[in-house]
Amino acid sequence: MIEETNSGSHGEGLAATPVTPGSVIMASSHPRVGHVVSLKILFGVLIALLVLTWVTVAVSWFDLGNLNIVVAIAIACVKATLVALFFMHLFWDKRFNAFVFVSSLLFMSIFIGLSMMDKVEYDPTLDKGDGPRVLELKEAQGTSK
Amino acid sequence: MSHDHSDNGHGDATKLQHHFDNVQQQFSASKLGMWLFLAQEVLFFGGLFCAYAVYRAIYPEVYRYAHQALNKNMGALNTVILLVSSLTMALAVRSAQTNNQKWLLRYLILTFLCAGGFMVVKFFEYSEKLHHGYFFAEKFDYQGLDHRLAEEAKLAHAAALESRELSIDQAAELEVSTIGMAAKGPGGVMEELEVDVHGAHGGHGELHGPRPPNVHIFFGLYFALTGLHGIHVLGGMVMLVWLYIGAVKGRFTSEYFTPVDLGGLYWHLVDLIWIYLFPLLYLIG
Repeated sequence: MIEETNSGSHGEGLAATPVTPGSVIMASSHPRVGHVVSLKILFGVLIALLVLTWVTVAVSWFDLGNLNIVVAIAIACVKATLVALFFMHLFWDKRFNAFVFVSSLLFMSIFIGLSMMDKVEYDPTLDKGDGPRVLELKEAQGTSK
Repeated sequence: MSHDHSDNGHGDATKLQHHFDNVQQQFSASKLGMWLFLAQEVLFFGGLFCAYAVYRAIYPEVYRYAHQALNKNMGALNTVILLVSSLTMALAVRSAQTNNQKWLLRYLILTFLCAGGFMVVKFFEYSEKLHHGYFFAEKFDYQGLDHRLAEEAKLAHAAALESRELSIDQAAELEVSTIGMAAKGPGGVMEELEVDVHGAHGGHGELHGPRPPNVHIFFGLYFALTGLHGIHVLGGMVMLVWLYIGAVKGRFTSEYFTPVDLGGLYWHLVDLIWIYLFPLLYLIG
């Protein structure tokens, strides 16, 4: 079955393995680099993710108006954090990896944020009716709405 | 460097390349490289998410209406499948790290099967959409949709006129809201029957009720987002096959498991993206 490894908190430090030149390293149950995540954490995170998924779906059946999308995204963010920290190992990794990831999220927020601000500005100029192709179709059908 | 690189310094097992000082540095560099790629992937999807956000702000009624065509249950099932696949992938990495060849192979297979399951569900979802003519952009079948909606409205109107008071069951069968009728009362003449239909009961994939303009925009975004994500899942499946072949050859041990680790990171990102896609597309009001 699955071996349970007492991996402690080795972080990314190396366990010193004595090496003689030319000798072959016997692969052990302990990784040369990196850190092994415990089974408890992995399964625990999955349970949490499944529960959060269930909550998201459950909440969606109620009409909270604009709050619906806020709650849905908020829960998605919690799930994303769990996946990133524990499945993707950022909790134990060098901080810089997390920094790279977070900064991509930051730039995406700027991208979407500024586009939305822009939308608010040009909103009055928008034609909210059907597009030209749909209008064509309607004409062809001979119906009017 | 004072290293003797003739035998890679530590035997072949660690695959230490000459431009790295030690195994630790090589591993860290590999990880960083992967995270930089993942950052790019976030921005890649970010473009589509931005389009989604802007159009939703402009046409909220389109999203509220068109998402009826999506099946919440299948979406939720896909979410669960991917979450489980993330676990099996993490367990595969763990198996490689602890030199557990048997379970490394098994978890890689399990992850692959989950990915396949996801694509199968996706296939059924797409088929249903195409069957109804809900394609993107030009190909969206407005004629079919409007025709069917007109029929629906006629039926509902006729049925309501037949008997001023529909029973709850009859109303449910026609999927007509009795609120409008109740408000207008049984005595008066109803000029315009308000047909308020909410078809999102876990979805039978049909759009009901008065159609807002430009519904095809939602489907354009839906297919672009889920399609691009699906391509990433397929790519992930190819990667899993490659990892499996390598594992069979005994490439991955506690000395060197980097490709499994990095492949895992990619797979978790695919899961992450779906974690956001699911509420944004399927759980709209």
